[in-house]
Amino acid sequence: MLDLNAIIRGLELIARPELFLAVACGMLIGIIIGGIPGITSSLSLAIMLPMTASLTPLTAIMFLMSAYSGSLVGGGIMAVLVNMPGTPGAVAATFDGYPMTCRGDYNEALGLQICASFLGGLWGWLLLLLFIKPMAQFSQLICTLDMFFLAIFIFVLIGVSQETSLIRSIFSGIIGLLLTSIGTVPGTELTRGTFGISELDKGLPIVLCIVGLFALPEVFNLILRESIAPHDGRQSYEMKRFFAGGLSILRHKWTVFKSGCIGIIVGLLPSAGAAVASLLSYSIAKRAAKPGQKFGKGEPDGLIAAEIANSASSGGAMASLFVLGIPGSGSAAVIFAGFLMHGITPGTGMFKSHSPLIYALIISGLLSMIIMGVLALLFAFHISRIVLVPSAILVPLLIVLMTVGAFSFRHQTFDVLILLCFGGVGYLLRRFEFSIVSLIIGLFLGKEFEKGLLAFSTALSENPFDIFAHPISVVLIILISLLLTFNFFKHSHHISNSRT
Amino acid sequence: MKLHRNGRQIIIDFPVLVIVFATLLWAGTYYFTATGSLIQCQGSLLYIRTLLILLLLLAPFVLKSAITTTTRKPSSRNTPINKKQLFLGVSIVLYVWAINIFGYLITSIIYTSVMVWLFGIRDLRLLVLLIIGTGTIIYFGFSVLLGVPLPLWPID
Repeated sequence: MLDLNAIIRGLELIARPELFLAVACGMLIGIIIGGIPGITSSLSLAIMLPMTASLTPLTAIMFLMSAYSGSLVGGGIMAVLVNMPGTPGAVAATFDGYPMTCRGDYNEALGLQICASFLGGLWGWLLLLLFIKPMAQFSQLICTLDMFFLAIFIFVLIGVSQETSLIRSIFSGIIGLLLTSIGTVPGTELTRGTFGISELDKGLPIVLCIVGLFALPEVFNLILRESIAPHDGRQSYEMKRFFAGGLSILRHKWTVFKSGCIGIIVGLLPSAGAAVASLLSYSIAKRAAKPGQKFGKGEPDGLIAAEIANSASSGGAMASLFVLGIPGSGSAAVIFAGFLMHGITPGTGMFKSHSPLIYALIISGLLSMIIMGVLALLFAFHISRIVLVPSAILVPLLIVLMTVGAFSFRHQTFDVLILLCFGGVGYLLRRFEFSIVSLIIGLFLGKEFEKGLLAFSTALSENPFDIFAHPISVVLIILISLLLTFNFFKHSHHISNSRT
Repeated sequence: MKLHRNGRQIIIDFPVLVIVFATLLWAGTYYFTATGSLIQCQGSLLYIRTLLILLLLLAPFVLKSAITTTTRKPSSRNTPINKKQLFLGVSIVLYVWAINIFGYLITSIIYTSVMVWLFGIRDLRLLVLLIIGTGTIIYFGFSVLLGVPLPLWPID
């Protein structure tokens, strides 16, 4: 399973000081850019790609991969501090990270978030080093039909984990699915749902929808407060509390292990990515909450579950890229382009001809996590002051940052309007207890859901028993049925209890 | 909206009704416009139709959840929108409108400084710092470093 010879040659390849510099620079740029809403990791990698042309292939890919890992952490930092997920994968970090910040525990929240990112990334890369081939083979087993049932499973799981009603949660999810269908029909030049607006031909920019749904409504709440965190005489940042928060992760070993596995498995799936991984991991942790744990109100377990899965998913995404040559996300696609730019084609051929290079990249991924830990600590240490900035200053600045970030996404002013519209939608949905999380899951899984529905209808029309030839789908159908049955009985029990 | 019947109070969450009907109206219009233009893409239509049917099936249950019957005086869950929030909303719309005319640089600088002033910060040094900071982030950060083709000036 482990090619020790290739690993040793990989270690020899990375034993150069300029590579460490490339990793540190990539990581720093990634952390900073990841914190800007609208500038996604894929967009920032695309901006940096031409700059790597003069570098050696290994240095260039290591730089891009570090920037990718850094952006996942940077997005999380802003999600925890300002409720503004810089990257889609950071959405779930807002659920418990931001409430921790609001009650004044921002040092602990940041320490926990960085530590979770570090451990999640380490876990992801380590498993990649040990099981790269089986991981890639597993990702090949997943078919369109499995993705369809996985999408339904995630919907139901998130629906039953929400405090809002299951019906409203599924209703929001379907709105999300319908919203992703806007734009050009796959494989054709025909458009749908654009109502004649040409800017919508390429579909809705999901990352801006998320920023609108989460950050804009929060800005409206923030203006009524003096600052994000209360001024209670404590210093804006305290290293002691910072480390205490980080070390508290050791009390949540089971969540770390479970969320790491979820992150890696979901990272392997095509088009799922960090956002689905973290949302699924968060929902599972919430579902398994012990008495006294208050998810959504600043529960450390929730932040750990979200951030570990977010970070670990990068390991899974890289497995299918390195071995199969299939980029599972937008960022992986840019790294794929980076390989091609330097004359290397990722896939099965690369594993045969460049296996030391692959192992060098994986080891550098592990190394980048350590550098990330140090840089993120320094970065977060200074940026945590933001939580004590008066709202009167912070709110206008955040609005300007979001607006400019929205324009930067596709270089069109129409995207700013999309941001505003989704801000309004987010405000209304939150106010009237519709689930924003389900809407976001709908936005993420819409494309896969459409393909899956077609495959499902074809399977039904030809031979319904064909579904039993897909064991993963069968397992998912059983899990969906169990969840719905369990929820039904729980609901009935709750009603009968309230009547008595 | 509140109704009284047989000593019981029926509370209707009216905005929920609006959200449900607005969603159905949008989804319905979407489907019927798509049927005209996507005759050749039956798969695409199947997807939209399925989602529309699901929305129609769920809508009565969502509407039912918006109606509560109680004998007690309910606590006010939905606090009214604050004047400050309303002002912020209007200011954002005006800012986005002004961007298209005056460009990002001038509009953002004016917006930040005016809003900070109106929200009660009267420190002149801080305002100058904000003006320089906003200008630097937009010009150097986004336009020069990230290479975003922002329409910075009115003529852009």
